[in-house]
Amino acid sequence: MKFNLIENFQKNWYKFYQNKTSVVGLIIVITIVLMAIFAPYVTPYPQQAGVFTDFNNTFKSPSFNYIFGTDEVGRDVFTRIIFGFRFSLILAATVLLIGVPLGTILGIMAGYFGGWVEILIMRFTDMMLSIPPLVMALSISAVLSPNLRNMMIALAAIWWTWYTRLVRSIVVSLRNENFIKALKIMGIGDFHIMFVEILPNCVSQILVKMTLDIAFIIQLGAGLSFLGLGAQPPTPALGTMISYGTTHLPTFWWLTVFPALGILFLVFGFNWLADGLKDVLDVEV
Amino acid sequence: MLKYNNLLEINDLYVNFERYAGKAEVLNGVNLSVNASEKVGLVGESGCGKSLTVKTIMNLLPEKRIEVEGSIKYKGKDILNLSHESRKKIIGKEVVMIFQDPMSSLNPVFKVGQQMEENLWWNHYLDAKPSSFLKRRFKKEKREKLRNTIIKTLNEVRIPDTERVLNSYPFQLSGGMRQRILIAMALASEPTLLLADEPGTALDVTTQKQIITLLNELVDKKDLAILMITHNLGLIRETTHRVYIMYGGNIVESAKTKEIFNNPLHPYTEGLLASVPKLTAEGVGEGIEGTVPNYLNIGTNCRFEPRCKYATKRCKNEKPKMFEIKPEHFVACFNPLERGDKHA
Repeated sequence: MKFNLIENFQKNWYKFYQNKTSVVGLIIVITIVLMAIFAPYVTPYPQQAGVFTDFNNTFKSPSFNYIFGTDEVGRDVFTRIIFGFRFSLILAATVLLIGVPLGTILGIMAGYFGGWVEILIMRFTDMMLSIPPLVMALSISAVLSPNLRNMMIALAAIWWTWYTRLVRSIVVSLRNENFIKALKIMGIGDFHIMFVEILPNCVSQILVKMTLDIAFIIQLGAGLSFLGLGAQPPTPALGTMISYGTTHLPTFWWLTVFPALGILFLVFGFNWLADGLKDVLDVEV
Repeated sequence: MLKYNNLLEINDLYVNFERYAGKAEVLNGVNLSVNASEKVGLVGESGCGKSLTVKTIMNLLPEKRIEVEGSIKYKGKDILNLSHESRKKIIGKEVVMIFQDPMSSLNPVFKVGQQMEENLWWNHYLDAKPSSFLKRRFKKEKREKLRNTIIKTLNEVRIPDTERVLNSYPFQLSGGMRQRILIAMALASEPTLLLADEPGTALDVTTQKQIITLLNELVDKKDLAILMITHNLGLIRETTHRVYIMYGGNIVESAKTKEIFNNPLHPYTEGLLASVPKLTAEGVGEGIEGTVPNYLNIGTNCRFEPRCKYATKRCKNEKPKMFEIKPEHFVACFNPLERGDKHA
């Protein structure tokens, strides 16, 4: 419940440090994010990320020059993986940036007002929850064209529901606390109570759920890309790379294995980081 | 300041809840008054409607499926029919309340200093908008001024080490400390009437004593009127001038404190007094048989009749009215007790 991450930095860092896996997670996440941001500078062949052909170097196995090998048109797999992190992180960030505020606002409204507002919002949420993300993405891709933007829309369109449910459950328990009553007595408006007084009480839970969700969204995005619903080649998305790599299995194994390891690292990193944050913020998810 | 003889006057207050199973008539014609700078106690079992009365005054009732009749007059103005704007100027500013539970009365995610600042700020700028709330965070002079006022009020409620307290979160403070802070916050707006809903119940006995003593000193010093709700009869006897005994949504007896304790006339009051364990006697007190009535589809009988030792046929059919049995001693009973100073 205590949102004082920065203030008691030493104490919180101690708590975080107790669990070594969360430190590893933090290191992985920081490395990956930095690599994704500075991708053109850290990769050996940045021009090979997108449209590029070099038929002299097709299907080179991992070597000193191409540490993860090259693909069917001679592009460096390592470079493409680093650029692939970019797309995975952008996907997660966009989905959360749309989903979290929307879900939080709806959840606060449902929890605070109760009555018909709650019934309307929560039943609509239940309805959206009943649609599996894969089916949602399939249908949106069927209506629009399958690309990264539409995949983001598809995921964001269902992702807010979890935040609505989470926030509502917190707000309902806070609604009848005395400090809210006291604010009502003073005649303070609903808007102020909802967003200045109640919202900070939900922040730690939302934060932990967000870090857990990043890994989940990345996984889902890779899955959708694998099915051909996400980013289309030559965009270097990890799911798409795996999908194309499978056609060359098992001879050219590095086309599949290294992007898959990339996803593995991303997911583990964010999950371990979320574990550590959970310890620091005392949140039960 | 103009002295109002009846600062707060509640006339024939009825509060009914509409339930699926029927109508729950909880408050059934409550008459209560508090004079300026008077200490009044409101006593009764749990579920008698004491807190409901206070919530009605503070306008804390839910809006739906509830009927409120009667009038609550503060300085002659009926606060039940006031507009939101003019009610805001009275409730929370001139009429303030201290809640029962200090644990949940402070927002857990803000520092105490921040919350007190905000409280003061809202009191000074009644028509404040959320946007101006954000603006004032940048005005340093004003903040320092507020800070000084806060430290002054904290000294008044005898909080040592104010700097540390202001910079800590509510969970870092003890219950007694938090109750002091709440008292300081309630008194910061310079009210004339204080409603204290069991101010010490959630605290241990020694802290409770400190809090009550402190509250009383402050009330004397600032010349406030206080309506004290409590189960604790000893506390009522020590601190109040006048007492209302409440049972089943009715005021059943009211008199000067001394008179009530020396000469209780309603059977319920007698039972309440007898239920207090005494140092000289064996075991716990006698208590009263039975429980508070179910308010759903309640009849027109005297509400205490099912539990009353002295009930007659008349009690089953008719509801007794308050009448003045002695000067300044009112009782609502057909068979008030007739005996001498048994409890003296």
